[in-house]
Order: sequence, then C-alpha cells, then structure tokens
Amino acid sequence: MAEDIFFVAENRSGVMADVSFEIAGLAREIGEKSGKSYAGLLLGGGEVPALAEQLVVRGVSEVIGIQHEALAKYSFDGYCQALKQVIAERKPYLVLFASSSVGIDAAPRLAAMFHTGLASNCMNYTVEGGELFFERPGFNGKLRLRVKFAGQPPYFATIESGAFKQLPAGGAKGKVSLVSANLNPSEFRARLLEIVTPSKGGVDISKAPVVVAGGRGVGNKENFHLIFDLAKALGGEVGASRPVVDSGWVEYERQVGQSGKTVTPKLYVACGISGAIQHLVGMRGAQTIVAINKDPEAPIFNVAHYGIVGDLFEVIPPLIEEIKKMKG
Amino acid sequence: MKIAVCVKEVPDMESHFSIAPDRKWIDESGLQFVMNDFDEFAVEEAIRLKEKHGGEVIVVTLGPERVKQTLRKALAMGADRGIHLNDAAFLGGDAYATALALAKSLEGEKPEIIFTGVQTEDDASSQVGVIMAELLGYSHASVVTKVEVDPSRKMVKVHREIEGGDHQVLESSLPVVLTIQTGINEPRYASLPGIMQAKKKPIKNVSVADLGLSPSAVGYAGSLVQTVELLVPKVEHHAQMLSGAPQEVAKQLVIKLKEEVKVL
Ligand SMILES: Cc1cc2nc3c(=O)[nH]c(=O)nc-3n(C[C@H](O)[C@H](O)[C@H](O)COP(=O)(O)OP(=O)(O)OC[C@H]3O[C@@H](n4cnc5c(N)ncnc54)[C@H](O)[C@@H]3O)c2cc1C
Repeated sequence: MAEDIFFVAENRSGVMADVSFEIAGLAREIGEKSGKSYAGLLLGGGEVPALAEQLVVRGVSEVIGIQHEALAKYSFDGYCQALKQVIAERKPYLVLFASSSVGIDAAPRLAAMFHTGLASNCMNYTVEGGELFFERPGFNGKLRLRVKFAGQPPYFATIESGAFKQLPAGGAKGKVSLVSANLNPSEFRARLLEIVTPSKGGVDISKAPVVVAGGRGVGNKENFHLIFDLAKALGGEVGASRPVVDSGWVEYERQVGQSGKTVTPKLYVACGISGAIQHLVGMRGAQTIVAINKDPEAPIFNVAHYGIVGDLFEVIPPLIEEIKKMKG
Repeated sequence: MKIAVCVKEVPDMESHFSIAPDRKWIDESGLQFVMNDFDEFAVEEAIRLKEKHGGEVIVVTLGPERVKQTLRKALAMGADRGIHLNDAAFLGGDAYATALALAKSLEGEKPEIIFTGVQTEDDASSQVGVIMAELLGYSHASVVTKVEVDPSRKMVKVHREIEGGDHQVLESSLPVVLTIQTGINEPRYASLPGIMQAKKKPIKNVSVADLGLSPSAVGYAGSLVQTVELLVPKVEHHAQMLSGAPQEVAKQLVIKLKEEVKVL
C-alpha cells in the first residue's frame, strides 16, 4: 500500500546514529499529517536485532530489520538490492534517508531504479492539500528550493541532520520483524575493504572555549596568521572551513563541519566563511556566534548572534588591538 | 583508457541572487558564471589519470550557449574534446532529467570511468553522477577523495569520505562513475599554450533529437522533482549587526564579548 512512510535507520558500523531518531520523528510527523503509518528499515548483519531493539524501545512502532551477512558492511549493490526488494513488496509512499555517506550514495540509485524522484538534503517540509513539499538548500545556502514530486510514488528524500527533532521518547514499545534479502555478494560491483582514519592526534579544537575560524575569504595561507593572532588574543583555538583545509592553509584537524569536527564553544568567530550547511552542522551548537563577512547576504548571518558586514582585513586588526587593550 | 567528465557552469556564489519573476529559478541577468568548484577537481583528476595511463578525456556539459566557455576551460586544462548538450529542451531539468541526458550522450562512447563533482553549488542535489551510473549499468562511488586505477585488472581502488572524516577504502570494477570531492588534488591553471590549443579542440553540439529522446523526457518536463519556488531562508536568530568604521565596530564587539558573552 502506498500508505507507509519508511525511514532508513543509520547503522554506522554497528552504532545507531542519532539522526535515525530525527528521521523517525519526521516520518511519524508526516504520517500524522497525511494519514499514513510509518516504519523503520534497518540493514545490517548479526547486529540487526539488537539495533532494532534500540529503535522500538524509543517508541518507533514498527522496524523491519533486513539481516544478511552481505549487509554487515556497506555496499551500494547490497543496500540498493535489499531495499528494492522490500520497497517493491511494501510499496511505500515515501522513503526517508539521512543526508549521510549512505544517503548520498544509495538513495539516488534506488530512486532511479524505481524511476521516481529524490529530494535531497531537505530541511523543512509542508503537507498542503495532501501534497508533500520539501525545502532544501541551494546556492551555497543563500536560497532554499521548495520542491514537490512529479509522477508516482515511492518518493524518496534525504534529510539534513539536525533539521528535525528526534522522535520523542516514551511511546509504546513497537515491534520488530526480521526479514532476509535475496543477495548475491559475488555480483557486487564495489566492495568495502576497510575504514581508515586519515590523521588523528595533533590539535583538538573540539574542547576549546573559543574557536576563531577562517574560511576561503581569508584568501591565502600567509593571511591566515590574522586568524591565529585573533585566536591567541581571545585565548582560543583556530578552526577552518573545508576549502581552507583542501588548499593546505591549515591542517585537517582544524576543519569544522560535516566532514570535520563538531564544536560547541562558548564563542565561535567565523571570518570569511559563507555558512554552507555542511559547515553550519559543525558549529551551530556554539553558545555565541560572531560572523565577519563582506557579503551582507552570506547565510552565516542567519545563525550568527553578532554580525559585522565588512572586510576581515580591516576589521580583525583593530579587533585584536581592542581585545589587548581590554585585557590590559 | 577513455575517461569522461561531466561539468556544470554555475553562477559565482558570491553574487547577489534575485529570484526570477516565475520564482522557479534565479534571475541570471548580469551574473558571472564559472565552472562548478567540485567539477574543477573532477577535471583535474581525469587529466591526471590520462597522463598516467594514456587515453582520452571527454568533457560533457549541458546548458545554454554561454557554457562553451566552461568547456573551453576544461579543454585548456587538458581535456581532449567536448560534448555540449545544447538544446533549450534540456534546460530546467532536475537531477534525473539531467542525468538521463548526460548518460544518453555517453552511451555510445563507453568510457571506462565517468567523473562528476559531488554536487553543484547552485542546485546542490548531489545525485547526477549516481543516477547516471544506474542508467548506464555502471558501478559507482560517491564523495571520492582518492583514485587509483589498475588497468590490467580493470579495477579501481578509491577512498570515499564518510562521517567524522573517516574514509572507506573500496574496490570497484570498471566501468564506474566516481563523484569527486573537493581537495582530492590541486586543480591546475590552464597554461597559455593550453588556452590556444583549446580553441582548436572539437566540441560537438548535441540536441534532444540527436539522443533519440523525446522532449518530454528531459528538462523541466522530464523532472521527477519539480522546483515550485525559490525562497530566502528564514533566519534562526536575528543577528545583532554592528556597524560603523572598523575601529568603531571592533570597540562595540569587544564590549559585547566582555559584558554579554563574558569571554574577556
Ligand atoms: C559531502 C560534503 C562535505 C563537506 N564538509 C564540509 C565541512 O566539514 N566543513 C566545511 O566548512 N565545508 C564542508 N563542505 C563544503 C561546503 O559545502 C562549502 O563549500 C564550504 O563550507 C565553503 O567554505 P567557505 O565558507 O570558507 O567558502 P565560500 O563559500 O567560498 O565563502 C567565502 C566567504 O568569504 C567571504 N569573504 C571573501 N573575502 C572576504 C573578506 N576580505 N572579508 C570578509 N569576508 C570575505 C565571502 O563573502 C564568502 O561568504 C562539504 C561539502 C560536501 C559536499
């Protein structure tokens, strides 16, 4: 029945990621607004029953665990084939994934298999007259695209982490049904060999009370001393956006965001950083955010508490001076 | 080895964007257009593979006439020839409609590797490469940060970025679509001789009819996700904006940091 809303729980090497509860909450909410039921899908190997239990004790009403040794490690073939089988059988209306390394890799392929649409990186939704609309970021976060699906279900969406509240705890315990999948791993085209952590050690910015972060707007490696000087004056650490690390101006350990560190300092100063969603997810939890950017429309100002529209090269030097004066 | 790279021309993201009267896209007048940042890394990676293993790099794009400048840029960096999906019917498509057109244009070419960027900076759907892989029956890997090809085994070993900065190391058979993440390499600047040579490199214009597709399968008509309207994001907090001369702003901020934020 095209009545179910499925969410695909994020099984990260045997650990249930928090975002699973966010997409569970969203599945339930959309279900309530559109008169549909919801259920979780969980893929993996031997760990599936225990992980499914974590979902149902938190109030997810139904979890379909797809257990197969070929799903113990992620592969697009394994995930897409297993999900295709369940979806073809249950014919859901909507399937939600997290905007994650699995969502970005498997969801577009799966949607294409059904020749149906996928709305990516959604941050908001509305149901109007029974029709579902999602909002997703575009133009480096400067604009949102409000989208709807054309054609028949099953529809697909990937959901930005942190965009929706977790499923409230305390509902009645749900039920788990375990199913198998018909998979032939010897035909998988891509195979996961190992997971590596590129570099560990060195600085740890995740505990610093103050983080001063520089972005592409700092211009080059030489200019970055300004960011270090400001961090020093404030007694904090230096962070950076991804392009800064990509260009080798500072080391990877300083990267803040989706593919870097998550920081929650008392103060975060973003200098020459536009505020793309992948950066925001790493620093939105800071108590106070100051943004210095020459573009008044930069989305960083939408999360900042104090904003300065201006050239960082003109603003930072007097700022360092004033801080030193204040400290005496 | 035959390698294809799909690139897109996008507006400079530091521009002021105004929403077009139909509210479905931006008003493009007066904007500067550049190669999508992710795609520069994809073009560079393709050229490096060609330099190492020999072969040919085909660069493909879809867009209005102006996007020829972006094809020329890729050719100047070292790609060998271009394909321009140049037909008004292709425009306004979602990821699926775009992937369908791009995949069709490469069907006869049978490249062993197709590169795309992870996502475009404007539409940001991060789907086109992966959908192409499904339509062509290719393997794929997304968010790729390292590529090593073993031509004799017809295999490729790649790293892909996952949560927390970890990398999956995986091996895939060819043919494969790889969506390239920024930072994988250092994209080269086109040299002057490169720019001169690019002017002579062939660019093939392709229409919807040339691909044997119906106009209703591509562009907005062929889209499975339709953009209803563009919106300006709602603000989470109304930032308190500090204004004045730099010295003045610095003073104001320091007072806030001391009295309200209490970090000084
Ligand atoms: C899968 C994936 C993972 C990602 N992970 C991360 C991540 O972990 N962290 C991350 O940061 N990004 C990440 N990104 C990239 C992200 O999408 C953005 O591209 C990136 O955050 C932009 O960095 P930026 O703000 O420094 O650069 P830009 O977006 O180029 O912004 C530069 C800003 O500087 C301003 N500026 C320029 N000159 C000056 C000046 N003189 N004074 C003041 N302001 C100035 C400009 O107005 C502009 O707003 C990821 C992307 C993908 C697809």
